[in-house]
Amino acid sequence: MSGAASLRRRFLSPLFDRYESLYRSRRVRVFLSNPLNVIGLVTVSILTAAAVFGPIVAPYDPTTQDLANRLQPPSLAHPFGTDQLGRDLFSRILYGARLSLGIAVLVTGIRLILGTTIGLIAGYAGGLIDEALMRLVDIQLAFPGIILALVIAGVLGPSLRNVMIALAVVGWASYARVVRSSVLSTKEREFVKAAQLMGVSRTRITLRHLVPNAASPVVVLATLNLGTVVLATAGLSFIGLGAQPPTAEWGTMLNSGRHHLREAWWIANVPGVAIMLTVFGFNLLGDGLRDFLDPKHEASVEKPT
Amino acid sequence: MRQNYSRRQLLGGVAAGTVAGLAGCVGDDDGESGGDGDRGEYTIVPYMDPSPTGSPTWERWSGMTSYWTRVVEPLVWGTGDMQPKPWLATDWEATDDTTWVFELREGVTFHNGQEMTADDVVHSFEEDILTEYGDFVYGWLHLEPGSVEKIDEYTVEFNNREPFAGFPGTIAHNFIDIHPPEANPYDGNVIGTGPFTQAEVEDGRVRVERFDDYWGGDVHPGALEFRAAEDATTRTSMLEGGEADIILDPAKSRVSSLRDDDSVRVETAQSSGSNFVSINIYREPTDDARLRQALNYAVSQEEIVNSVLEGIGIPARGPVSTVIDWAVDDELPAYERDYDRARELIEQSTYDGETLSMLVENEMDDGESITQILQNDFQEIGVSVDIEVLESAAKNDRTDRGEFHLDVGGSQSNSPAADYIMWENFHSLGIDNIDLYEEEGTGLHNLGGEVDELIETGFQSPDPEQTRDVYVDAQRRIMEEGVVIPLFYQEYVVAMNDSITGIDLHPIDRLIEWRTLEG
Amino acid sequence: MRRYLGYRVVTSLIVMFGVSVVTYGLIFLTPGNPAEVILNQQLERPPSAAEVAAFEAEQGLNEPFPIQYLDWLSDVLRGDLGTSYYGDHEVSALILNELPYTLELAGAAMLVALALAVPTGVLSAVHQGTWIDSTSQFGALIGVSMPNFWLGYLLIFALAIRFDVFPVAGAGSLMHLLLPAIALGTGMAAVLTRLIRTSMLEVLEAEYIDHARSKGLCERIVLYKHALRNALLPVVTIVGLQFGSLLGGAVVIEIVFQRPGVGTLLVDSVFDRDYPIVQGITLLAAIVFVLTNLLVDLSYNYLDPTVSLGGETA
Repeated sequence: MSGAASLRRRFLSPLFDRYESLYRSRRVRVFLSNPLNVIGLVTVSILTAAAVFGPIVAPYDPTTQDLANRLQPPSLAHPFGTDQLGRDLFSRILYGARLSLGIAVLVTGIRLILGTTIGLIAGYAGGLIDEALMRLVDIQLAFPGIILALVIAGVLGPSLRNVMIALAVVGWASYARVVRSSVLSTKEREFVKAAQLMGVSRTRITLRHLVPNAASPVVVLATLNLGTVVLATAGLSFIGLGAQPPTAEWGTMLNSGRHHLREAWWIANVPGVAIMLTVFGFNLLGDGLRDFLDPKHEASVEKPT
Repeated sequence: MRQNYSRRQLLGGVAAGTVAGLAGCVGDDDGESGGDGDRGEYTIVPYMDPSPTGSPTWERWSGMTSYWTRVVEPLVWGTGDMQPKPWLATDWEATDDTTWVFELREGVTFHNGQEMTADDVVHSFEEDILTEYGDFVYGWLHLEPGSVEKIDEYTVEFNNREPFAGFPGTIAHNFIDIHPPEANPYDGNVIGTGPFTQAEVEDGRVRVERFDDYWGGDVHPGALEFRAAEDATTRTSMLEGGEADIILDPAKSRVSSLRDDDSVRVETAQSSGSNFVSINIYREPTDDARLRQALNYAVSQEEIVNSVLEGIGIPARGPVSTVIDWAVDDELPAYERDYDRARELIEQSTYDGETLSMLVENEMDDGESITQILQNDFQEIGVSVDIEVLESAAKNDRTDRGEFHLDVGGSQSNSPAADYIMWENFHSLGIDNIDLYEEEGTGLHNLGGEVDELIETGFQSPDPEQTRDVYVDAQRRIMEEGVVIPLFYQEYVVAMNDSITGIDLHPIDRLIEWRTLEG
Repeated sequence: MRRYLGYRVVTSLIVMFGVSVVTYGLIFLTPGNPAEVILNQQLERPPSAAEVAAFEAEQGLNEPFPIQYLDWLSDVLRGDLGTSYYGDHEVSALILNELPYTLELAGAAMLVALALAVPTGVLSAVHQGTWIDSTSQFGALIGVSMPNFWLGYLLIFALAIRFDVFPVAGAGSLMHLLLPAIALGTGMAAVLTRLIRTSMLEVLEAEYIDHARSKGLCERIVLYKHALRNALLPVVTIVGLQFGSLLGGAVVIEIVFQRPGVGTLLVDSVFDRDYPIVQGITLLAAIVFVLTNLLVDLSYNYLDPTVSLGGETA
């Protein structure tokens, strides 16, 4: 059998099998029946569309200045008005969507991979390795997220790249914990023990059994994280550690806009609303996914990092 | 957690954590606006934090407490046209090339009741200024320890290291204040000769009170409170909300609405500061004068001033504010915006599409807006520029190593003697250039050769006419070679309650006299 | 149980050690030579090579990392967090000076959060499934999604500028405290609301409530006395544990409202490259968190060993 097909059979198929049956299941209907979930899904979809198609659709270039027309209120020509350099706010918001979402996906991806790997190893290996890795997790969790990210970004120098590095480093531990938890319970189950007895390789067990079972909480966490990363990026940019001008990043736009709250409130408030809606959408979607994937979950409290 | 919790657990399960600190009133009468006529109290908000977080004591040589508060005073002051003016010293004379003899004013009382004499002057220099700050001071004042001597009760002699015609103007600076040996400014025990005494220093707030025995005349206000609000928008809101009586540098975007407001009066004065873009003339491709000239042709100073600066500021043709007497605007070449000419020059130059780096300090007012406009202008003529907003430590790091092309900043003189603007920026041994000059024979903004000689002559000449001629010549060459892209001469704005009178604005805003405040 | 105590103490110590290493090591991420950067800032001019060398020797920056770390650690254990690079202020003194402002803000924010969350959470639980429930959940989600700095500026604009009710900036009185507390507390309120709601729901289902009902007590008393009190227990512990995140939020809020405090000190120090202060604050924040965690776990364990611990805080 060809490599691609065998890969599919070993790895993708089991995952797909699990979820295919859910596709038309009752759960989906339950999910869709809750208006909050639908709102979340729709919001995230709009955001994604904005991020993907925005720059194509945007009426203006986000950096084109028009000093004669600065601080204009919303109008037909400029649906969100213009900013302090005469740039079209609507276009800048669209470009900002791509930036924010892109950063969120990248940072969350890194956190996810890093955290999941550590969680898998810790959970499966157990013993001293587990203890050591969990101490690492504890260390990361001990620092308040914003503070550590602030320090890292500050020390490395202000730039979006450094903000991404800082945020990635500061948020993987939750994934590790969650995955480890799942692994600990999964590995005790009969079929895993059976597989071990049969001499199935550890890698295979991991991929076939451990990962799919851990997938649910990880997906939920990642969805929620997407929102919090957008918030954190905006916050760090607001302090001055992130995007450099003339980059159209929502937090930076809010920061420059606050000087004009009186006479041109849209410059600050439109990005503010954009950030809020984005985080809101991801939160709703994440909550909905949590109910969808694991209706018996326990209430967990997290203040996002 | 599905448990039944007993009362015991409830009591025992309280985690460490918050302290409900509702007390915390530091007990000041905020929002007190003055205006009881004489002896009123006024709240003033400058643009620097009077008492930055982390050091709630009198900042001896940084921050702003020596400035604005009129607690300590120097020997010499500055007039409205930036000439040295007798203050604690009544007269001075250069008895030879490197020696100055100063006559002191008699009958000046310190805040502790003692009279000021030559001993205090010698102490201030020899045991404080010259010992605590090292090399930097020697270069600035051209004095070394042991060079200040008492001649008699009210006469002091200063021996410069080399001829320094600008000495009297240079010591007209609030850092070079006269205080008695009993004072310990490093410990917060500040004693000066000014119309106000230090009363309280706290996080973000400095309070000074009237000194009845001030030598210079009657002191009208009873007390002044200086408060922190480094954000222009916050300052403006404080004025509008009645929390402040006087603010310096309101948010530019609010100035016109302040002008329309009848309860507020807005006054502007041209300051000694000017903003310009310094170009690294020793780094490719900005080492090519044609590129630099092209950049100059791309910029419209009027547009910048009229848009983001809301008309506050004077479009500039040179790097030095015209308030200074040897700075001239109309004798310098004018680079009116001319995109075509700029593009021609680009063609002729060695510029090959590289991206230039443009640095700006994050605290520079309107710095971000200005750099974005510049970036746009340069793009019009085909030059691509990358903006980097850095905090001052990081920016200095880059400029020290010459790792940049364009530096958006400026210069300002805090004393009437402004010669050092030319020296430090444009002479090979000036602070900006000296490291690279000595290491590699280059520098940053120094044309070297004849320009160096011109600056030296100007610096040392006792003849103001000659100084002027020489500096003008130097500025002309600097502009012809496009070493800088001038932006604007600063105007600073003071907004206050309409009822306030008695403020005298000075080109150096740090020397504003509050003594006669009323309202 | 003893074994557990020992285990927790040991692991906490290890974590604190790790935290200290990370905190100390952060400054080595700086691009460029930290000594040069700092001196440049201090002197407002480029330092000479001699000055750099002197500064490095004085601050011990030219020693290998382990030695520098151990030096620093031994000082820290004696309570000496070092001195600022600018002037000679002791870091611990600086932090103690600013701490009251931040604690004041955090405390007020927590009160605001509770004042918002408790009624909302309880109402939600009691009227589960109705529009009251949905609305408050919705509201809570908005609260947690809003960037707190944006909320801060909106509050300033609406209440301090437009309507002149509150002062615009600074600290020093109750009026100065209210808007920042609201801006900071809202996010926390959202989180707490959900927790209280869930907690209340669980407790309301518990058997003994039925038992209390069968005694004939008036419904309301049942609710408020028994359910609420017991539902609040996990909330109280979460409140303590969330303190770290509150501190993070305080950083931004202090900037927005131009308040003095540890947050402002931290940001200023980061920009000034004043590393001793940065290290001191970061270390303290983390250590407090670890100790708080330890205390909470141990007290739970002490009071009821059947409570499952070390589970999830996702």
